[in-house]
Amino acid sequence: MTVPVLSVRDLKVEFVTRRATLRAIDGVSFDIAKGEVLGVVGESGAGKSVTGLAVIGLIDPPGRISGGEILLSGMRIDHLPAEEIRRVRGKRIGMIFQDPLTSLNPLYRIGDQIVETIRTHTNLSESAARKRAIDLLAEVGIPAPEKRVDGYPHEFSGGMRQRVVIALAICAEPELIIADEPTTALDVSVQAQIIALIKRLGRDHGTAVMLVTHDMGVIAETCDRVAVMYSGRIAEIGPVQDVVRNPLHPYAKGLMGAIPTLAGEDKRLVQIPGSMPRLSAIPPGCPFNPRCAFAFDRCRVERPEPLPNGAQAVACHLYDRAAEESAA
Amino acid sequence: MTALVEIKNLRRVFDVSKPWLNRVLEGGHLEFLRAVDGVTFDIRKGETFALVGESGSGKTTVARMVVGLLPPSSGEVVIDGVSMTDPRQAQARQRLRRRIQMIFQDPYASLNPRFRVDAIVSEPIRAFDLIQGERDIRARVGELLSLVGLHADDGLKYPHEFSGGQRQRVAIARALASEAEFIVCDEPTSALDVSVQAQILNLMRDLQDKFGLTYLFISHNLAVVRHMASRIGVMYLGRIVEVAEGCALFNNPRMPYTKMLLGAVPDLAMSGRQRIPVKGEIPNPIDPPPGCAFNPRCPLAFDLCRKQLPELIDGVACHAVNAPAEAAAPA
Amino acid sequence: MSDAVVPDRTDSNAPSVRPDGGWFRRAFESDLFYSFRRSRLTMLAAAVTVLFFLLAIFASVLAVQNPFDPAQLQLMNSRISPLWTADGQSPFLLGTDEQGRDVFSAILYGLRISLTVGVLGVVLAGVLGITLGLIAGYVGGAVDSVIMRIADVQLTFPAILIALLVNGVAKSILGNRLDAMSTLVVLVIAIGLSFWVQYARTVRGSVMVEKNKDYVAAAQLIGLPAQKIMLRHVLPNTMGPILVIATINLALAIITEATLSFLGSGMPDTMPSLGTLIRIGNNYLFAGEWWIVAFPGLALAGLILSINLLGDWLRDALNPKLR
Repeated sequence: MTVPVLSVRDLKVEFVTRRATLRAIDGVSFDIAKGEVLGVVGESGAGKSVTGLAVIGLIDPPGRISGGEILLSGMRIDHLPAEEIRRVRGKRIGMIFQDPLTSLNPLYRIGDQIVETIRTHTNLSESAARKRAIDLLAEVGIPAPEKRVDGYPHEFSGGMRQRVVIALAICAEPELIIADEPTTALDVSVQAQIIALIKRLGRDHGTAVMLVTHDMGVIAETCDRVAVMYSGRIAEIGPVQDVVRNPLHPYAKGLMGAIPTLAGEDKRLVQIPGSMPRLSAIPPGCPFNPRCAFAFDRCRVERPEPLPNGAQAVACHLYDRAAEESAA
Repeated sequence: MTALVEIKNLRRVFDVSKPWLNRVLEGGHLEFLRAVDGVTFDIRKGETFALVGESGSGKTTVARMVVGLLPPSSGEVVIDGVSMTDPRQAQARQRLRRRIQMIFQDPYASLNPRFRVDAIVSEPIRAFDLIQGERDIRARVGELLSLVGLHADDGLKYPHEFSGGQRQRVAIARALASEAEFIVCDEPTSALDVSVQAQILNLMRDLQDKFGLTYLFISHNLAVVRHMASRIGVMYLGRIVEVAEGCALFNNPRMPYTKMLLGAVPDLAMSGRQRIPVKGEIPNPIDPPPGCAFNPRCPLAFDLCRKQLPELIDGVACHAVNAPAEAAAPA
Repeated sequence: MSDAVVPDRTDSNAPSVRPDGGWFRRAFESDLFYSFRRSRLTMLAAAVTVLFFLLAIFASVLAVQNPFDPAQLQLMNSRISPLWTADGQSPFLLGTDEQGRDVFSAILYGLRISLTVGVLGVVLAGVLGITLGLIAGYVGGAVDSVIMRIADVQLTFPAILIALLVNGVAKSILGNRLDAMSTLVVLVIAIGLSFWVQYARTVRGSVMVEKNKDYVAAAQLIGLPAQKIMLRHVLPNTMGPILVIATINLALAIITEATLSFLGSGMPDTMPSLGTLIRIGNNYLFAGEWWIVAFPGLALAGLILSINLLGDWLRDALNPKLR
């Protein structure tokens, strides 16, 4: 088997506060293969964004990676010095954030920003880099790129800005793109265009994409595989078709039922009581147990590990028990 | 059924020009943003009427005008026969106020951080003098909190001690405190996570059934609107472009914009359905295109669309739908 | 309707209520108090500030004499150097001046005047500035423009100039009838008028942010009158920055008063503040009697420094971006 582009092994991230050490990520493992789009979905506080930040080495104090490994095409990158991770970040990992304005310098023409990034990571000449910048803008669907290349960020609409950010992210031909809520700030009609763009880029360039979002609809449209996170752990991971159509983990089941759909008739939504625990009060055992209708004694004591179940992997004692019983 | 709320040709213009001194020194002229431009609809008693649209469509401005937080530039809001704008009906309006409440988008901003929850919920009771006596007020607040799924003791806490969903429950309790009949909900769940959103939407429906509430529901999320609304108005750049019953709108959208919007919603069902590809972005509302505002993005646009504003006829404001013969004629 | 409302009562989610702890415990556990305990310098500054206030309050108890009651002064005690020097005499800890006044006692009484003028000046500036800022921010429009233009114009003059102006006007009106007590009132007014702008601007800014928040809209919906919304809902939410400004302005007000008194247009010799004491002592500096000016000066410097340190800490602690 080929080496995955991104391999995260038992990642742990902690935030040290004066009251306690909060574990935002607690033993997360996943792989992303070449050309694959992995969706990381979860509600606020599930640790999905922190996972993305950890991969690109942007966890700032008081946060720190306290365990596990992150491998980019087999190379460990979680303990690189700041200078080296910065090079990896621009060259081999591209980033797209929720608010395009944070990624663009308002004082520079967008063309100059792209040219600068290209020249930092390749040895193209100024004019070749500019030509490439125009090609990139055309590729991400900006009309009249040879004119817009000299525009400033404020002259672009939200959707167009996000396209510029995507052009910036792919300009060094990275192996991996991390997109953190890339469509959340956009209107529905623009959102669909950006999703289609990200999907196409992943396919055309063979780039691995880690798409972090809270929107299950976006995941269903875009991703090959999906990881459902809860309280800093992966509750369920598997091919997107399986997880969306046939979720196994009680949380994933509840989540799918809670989403109103266009086809959905006038019925009551499935609802999970309560809300995600704060990091300072994660219950022992399975973090979902106080909200789970199927919880039994073991769930309150022992933490479930993700175990394979068909094409999916589920961290739930229910399936663990089923597996044991069928083995007996 | 009778209409509880009638909105007649509502219009709101914002002056977005630079300050006078800057205009004189730097040149430039007066600029106006027509946030809401001739919106007419009515809401029947006990139903949920939804306004759906993307950012800049003016749906929130409509909501604020309906409850009276923002005076309309022209047009009229009539609630239960009382005009919200007619100065002669000021007294009747004052009595009406108790029956209208609003639930806001951001539960972190809609509760005063310095007030305890019981003070927040009891404020309407005190303002309208509904119950006398501290003990009775306290009992009523506890009852309201239980009604929305909180604990009566939660009244002693401050808003920051609650999660987003719990805060939105507090906001709902406040809206119910004045025994309101008509509640305007401005994106009540868009700041919440999906599992919490489901709780709040279910709660709102239960309360509607229990108290016969009438909702004006504002949202950009079509799926949420589908789930909540009996009738839906689709807004684009300050105008209603299509109004229909929920099923009709989703099963058989007529206006090209509605079709595009429905097609753009990421679909959980992964049905691989055919969709109209989305073209372009919303134009600048300060300088909208002439004729139908949607014409630059519309696959069906023809000459008339670029010249003349389509009227809302039989629930659709679209030349291509209302005058198909002309559309088919060679341009 | 379907079954009962499904509750949201996962108490693990919210910190438990502590109704029995009361405000004291809440204050003790607050982030503000935590950052206070973390900074030794701040704690020292707070201790010094409190000490100065206590010294001023209990001046009459602590002083060996009332330095401004001529009956208690004896000329034979004049120009005694501090206690630890060769010529020192008990009970004159910090020495005496040419009239036989105990410098330590004079400082205690001067401190009292300085702090009174400073605190009252800050209160006046605060009340004026907060009221005008609240009105400007909440009402907006022409009212806002008028108030803020006045503020802009005033900002082009240094505070000390405005204080001098007010003082001069008062002197020319009252002339000889201006006794020590009315001088104090004039100083308070002068300081209040020169420092209100900063409060007004800050409050106006916060009010403009707060009044657009939905909790204000909710209050408007139930028909609360504007002034009730301003006072009950908006004002309490603008108080954080005001506290910081008030602290730093207290130091500024005390310095302004000292400057005015040093220049001779402040407190008279019969009821001196720290500034007056420094002016008086200044005359003896070259005669070798350094203690007459040095100790009031040190007291003033220590007071200003500790109040400023407190203000700096408060500003950082209340600003989440700097943490």
